[in-house]
Amino acid sequence: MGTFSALNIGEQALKMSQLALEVTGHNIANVNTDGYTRQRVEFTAGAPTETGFGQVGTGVMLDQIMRTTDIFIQNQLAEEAQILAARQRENDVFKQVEAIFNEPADNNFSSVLNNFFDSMNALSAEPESSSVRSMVVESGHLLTESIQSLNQRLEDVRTRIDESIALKVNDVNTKIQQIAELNEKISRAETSGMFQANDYRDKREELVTELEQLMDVTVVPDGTDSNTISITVAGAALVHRNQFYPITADLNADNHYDINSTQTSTAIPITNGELKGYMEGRETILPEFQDMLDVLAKDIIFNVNSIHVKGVGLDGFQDITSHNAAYAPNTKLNRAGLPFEPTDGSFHISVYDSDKNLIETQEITVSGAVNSLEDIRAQIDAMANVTATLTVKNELNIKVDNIAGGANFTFVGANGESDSSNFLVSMGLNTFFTGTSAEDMEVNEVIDNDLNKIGAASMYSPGDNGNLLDIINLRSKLTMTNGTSTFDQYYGGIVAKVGLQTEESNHQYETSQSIVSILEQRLLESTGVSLDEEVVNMIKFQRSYQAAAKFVSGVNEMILTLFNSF
Amino acid sequence: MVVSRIHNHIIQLRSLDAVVSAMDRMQKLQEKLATGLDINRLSDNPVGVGIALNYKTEMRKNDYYQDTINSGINSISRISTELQNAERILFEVRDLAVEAGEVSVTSSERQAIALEMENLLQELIDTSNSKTKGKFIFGGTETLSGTQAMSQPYNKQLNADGWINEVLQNPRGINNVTNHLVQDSTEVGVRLSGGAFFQPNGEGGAADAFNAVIRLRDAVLNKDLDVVRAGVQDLDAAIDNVIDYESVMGARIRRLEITNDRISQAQLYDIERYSEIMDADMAEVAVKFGSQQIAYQASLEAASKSMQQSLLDFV
Repeated sequence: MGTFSALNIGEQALKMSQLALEVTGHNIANVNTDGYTRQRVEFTAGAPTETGFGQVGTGVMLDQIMRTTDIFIQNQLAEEAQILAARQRENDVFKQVEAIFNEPADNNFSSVLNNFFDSMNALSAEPESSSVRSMVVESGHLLTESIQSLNQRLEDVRTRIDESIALKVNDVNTKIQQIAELNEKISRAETSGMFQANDYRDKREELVTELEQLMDVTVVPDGTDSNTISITVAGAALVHRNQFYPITADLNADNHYDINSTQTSTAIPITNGELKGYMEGRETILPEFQDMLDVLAKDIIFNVNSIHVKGVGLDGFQDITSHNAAYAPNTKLNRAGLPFEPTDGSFHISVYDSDKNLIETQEITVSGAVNSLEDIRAQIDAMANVTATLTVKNELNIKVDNIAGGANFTFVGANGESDSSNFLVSMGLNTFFTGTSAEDMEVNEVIDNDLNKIGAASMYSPGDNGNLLDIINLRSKLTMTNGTSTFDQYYGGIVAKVGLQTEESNHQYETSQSIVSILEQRLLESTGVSLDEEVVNMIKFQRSYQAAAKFVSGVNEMILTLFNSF
Repeated sequence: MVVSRIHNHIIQLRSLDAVVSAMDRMQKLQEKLATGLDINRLSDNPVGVGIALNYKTEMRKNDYYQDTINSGINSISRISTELQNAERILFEVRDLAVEAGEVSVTSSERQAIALEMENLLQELIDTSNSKTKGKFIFGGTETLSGTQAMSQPYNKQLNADGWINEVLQNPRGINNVTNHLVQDSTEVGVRLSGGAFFQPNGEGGAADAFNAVIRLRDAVLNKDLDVVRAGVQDLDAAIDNVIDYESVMGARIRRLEITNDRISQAQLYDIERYSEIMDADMAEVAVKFGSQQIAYQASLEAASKSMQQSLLDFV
């Protein structure tokens, strides 16, 4: 134990104070850095040396520079942040759906539907008027365009979600690549030295947190003191030590993206995080509303058409081709792929001369399970004044023989008998609408081309509005959901469902947000940099540096004194 | 002593949270003030929107039914006017018949009376074929004149001497009624069967107004006074029939007016309910907005004060 060893103690103390000041400086510098964890220097007393007078300390030594984090809260936060990310994406989808339905605005589907019935009502007051007839067709177009556009806009959201999914997949790949690189850096730094690579670990933790917000992954620590981590999803590896295996977004049969692993070449199940929110929106939320719109469209089409086929326009038909087609001429009608199923019953064809004098009327009997389209065609063709043929696409064409002489026909019997077999509706003959869903609902082109084909009357008489009154009554008729709601109420139900689910999603999102923000604050309590604390530390280490310097100069004086005494 | 570590970052975060949520609340109230609506998007009150939609549909239906009723009242009033016209013509014929029945009337005077009757008959046929907005009033659903023969509701037939000797209905039939929907599932006939007014028992049947006039005219021409007297009775039956229908039309207008009143009341009720659900209570919203504004300012001020200071200011 010599005098110079005291200088060593002083030097060590100076070094340590300087180091501590540097860490304080690093903390202050990163006061606003996201994901930064406050670092703290931990000292330990130097190993004593034996002297004749007993053990004497050798000053201070660095134990470690450690990160002040709380693993428990950190894990909890990661979990909640993942849920929040999923809910946020779902909430985005709901907000868009809400905007698409545009309630309670004035120009919504409900008013378009009312508009349609209003125009029918107007026509019932003046069935002969061609201006009111064109109003009916226009409001019919408005109705079909509205429901089509609702459906299309929901579909657009699905497409946009797919675009986002592709971007997020890229995000995931970038992140796992960076994690693999950090694995390498950390393992190299920590195996060569004895200290933790704090800042690399900070960065890796942040990347893992961000990755977990995108999708649910399993993080397995491995290597010495978990200096590397492996990341897997349902058995497929994303990161293994310094290797990474990208995931891909591939188009599936429905033209939407599925997410696959390049390591196992199988689909990756997405159970949480932003990607889950997107998938949920694309596969569950949006299709549900699209399905409801389809049900609404199909019921409007079927109910309006079922009545419209019983109607007679201002003019009869001369040459009409069915809008729908059977699979094959000889397949039984109920299995011929028609949008609505024909039942047992009959319909009539009545032929008139140009002065609307009845020439011939014939009842055509239909049994969905027994007859094929060809059978029906033959029955019609047997009439004296009418020719029926099948087109190459297996549509039914009915043509009156004496077209030049102004002969024409209606689908109503001489005494007002109308279709009881659903045949006309299922084939799309004398219907108001065509199509079967929100996507393909249209006004029948036959009516579009000739306003006089709107079947306002239930007999061949221009001022009759009997059939219209039945159509208008549909407005208040309980036709939907097993006879419990009107069209408008069903639509109201869709709207209320959109609202309720959006409201619920808003609540969930807000709850998640506040949980995450509480946890973030809790975590920040241990990881965050407090400037006050750092200033106190700074003063502390400044002072200890000053004291150590003073000690060195004291020892120096001592040595000088000794030297000068010679 | 356990104190959670509060530091600048936490204070910043919490201040931001407080400011943002105060602003959010203020923005929601501001939206209500700006639109005057309590419900601005579906999720504000989904159930309310559902109910409001139903009221809205009811309101639109009511509007429409009122239009229908008014147009119904118009067409029935038109029928009434024409019936009054017909009544006047028939009474004039009756007066002439009574005049012709006098023994002192000379044969040339009778000839003149018969001619006058013929003119009135023509006027009656014109009345029965009158149109509104281009459509026959008494044609049932055969409202348009077609290209074929006898396409008017009532078609005169002339005899060899050029006198009208028969009035025939449009062979397509003029007895189909037209109804209007005046409320859900309630139809009211606005156009009755055309035959009922002038030929209630068919062409040439009892109370056939045209036939009664034709028979009287012929009896006057033939100076057959007994037939004239009997003919006046027939004419009375036709007049009674027309008058009956005038009161039927009056009653129908009354019924439509009562329905209209009822719909108006329902409309008021619906509008009130709709407004209760949809419209914001402006006074309440304004007061809330004021207090929210104060809260917002307070949170801003607190944030600025607490974030200003640190130990650095004192060392």
